[in-house]
Amino acid sequence: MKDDILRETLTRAARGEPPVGDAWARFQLRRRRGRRLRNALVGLFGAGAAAVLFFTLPSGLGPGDPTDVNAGGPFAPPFRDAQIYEDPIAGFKLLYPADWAARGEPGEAIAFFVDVDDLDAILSDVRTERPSCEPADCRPEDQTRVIEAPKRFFVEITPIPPDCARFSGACVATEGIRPMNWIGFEQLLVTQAEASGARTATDPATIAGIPARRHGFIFPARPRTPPGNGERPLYWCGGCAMVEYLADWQAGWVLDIRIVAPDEDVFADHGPNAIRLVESIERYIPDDRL
Amino acid sequence: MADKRQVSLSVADRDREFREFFHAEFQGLRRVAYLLIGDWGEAEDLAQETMVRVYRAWDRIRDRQKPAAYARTVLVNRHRSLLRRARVEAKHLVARTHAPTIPEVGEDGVVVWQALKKLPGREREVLILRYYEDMPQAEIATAVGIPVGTVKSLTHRALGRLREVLGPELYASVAKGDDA
Repeated sequence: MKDDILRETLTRAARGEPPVGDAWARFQLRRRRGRRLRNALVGLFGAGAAAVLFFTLPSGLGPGDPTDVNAGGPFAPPFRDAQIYEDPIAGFKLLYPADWAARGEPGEAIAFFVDVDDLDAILSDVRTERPSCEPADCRPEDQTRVIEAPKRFFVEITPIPPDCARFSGACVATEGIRPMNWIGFEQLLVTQAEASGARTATDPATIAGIPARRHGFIFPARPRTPPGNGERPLYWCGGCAMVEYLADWQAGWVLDIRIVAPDEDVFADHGPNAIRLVESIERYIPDDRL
Repeated sequence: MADKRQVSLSVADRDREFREFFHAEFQGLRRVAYLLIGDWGEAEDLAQETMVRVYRAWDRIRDRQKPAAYARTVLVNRHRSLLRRARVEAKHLVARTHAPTIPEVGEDGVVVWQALKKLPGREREVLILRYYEDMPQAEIATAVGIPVGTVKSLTHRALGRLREVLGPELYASVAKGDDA
């Protein structure tokens, strides 16, 4: 009587659908709206953009010196041997130190998680000391260690088509980061350079006042001025955006990074003058530190 | 001039080809989206968004044998992004004002439906692709972006959770189709 009730339940549930109606017309509207916005953005920023993000995880350090990342040439990765994680569906790749382990799932936002249920990718130190399992049945999360300071790594995100000349050209350092509270969920956005001059100071109080373990920032792109205390520099290299993020927490970080299509309507609140490059940065605090 | 005509013909062919694909697949995609989300309005939105992304990628995927499978991959990924966003919003926004409606699925089906809604997103995705779409495990693995072994373990874990909720009698009828 109850033969395969799961299959039957799903079939019956889907049977109560409303009529499809003019789905094709709605599709056409949505597609054209996206194209209009995309064309507008292409006019503003150029056809392609790549974000190169440098992340450092210093232990108990204050804001770093932007020249640190220049060691070995302009914007050279701060490590010698790199591995590449490529996501052909989402259209980006990620460089990370060769002695770190990463796991990810193509097509999904790249993220470094330790919560297995939410696991998209793990990027962690591969030290296997004190494994918490027998070798025969070890899972990667048992063998690896979550990133802990001090660590320094480099992330490169390349949208398709990758027509930015990375690590070359005249790079313009831009002004620092301005945390922006948007229903408590901040976004990392790169905006077009419009004005010169004024520096936007980071407001530590704003960061500290956010209860969630999720922090992101808006990066106004402005001409070079030395970063002030508490600021993080952003570089704009002829179509490439580069962000150096200097963490000022000792705990590990969860980095939830993805390329958001310019015409995606998710964060339309910020208007069309924003290329949505990175969705969020989330600090991971190991449970035993909470 | 001839080149321009050729280009416009190509675009027309491409659009006609995609339109056929849209009409063949949209309804199915929307149903899967509904089973994942439980709301027809959001399901429509998710299916439409999926189709826009498939359209943009059409030149890359049309020569592949299974653009429908690609569409399901996009759908599952978009669903996961929505889940993540919903979790963040849930931390900061008040609860939704409307309660989700339960479809007409019969007395036992209501229990199964509610148990399904409580499953973690990825387990629900695997069960729906397996039991509604009848996809083989290898295709599910591709669609969800995980190894086949993980598909098996997620299926096993999801059925285990259903067993806890449904009790042995109902669970036995649910698990019957899991041997394939």
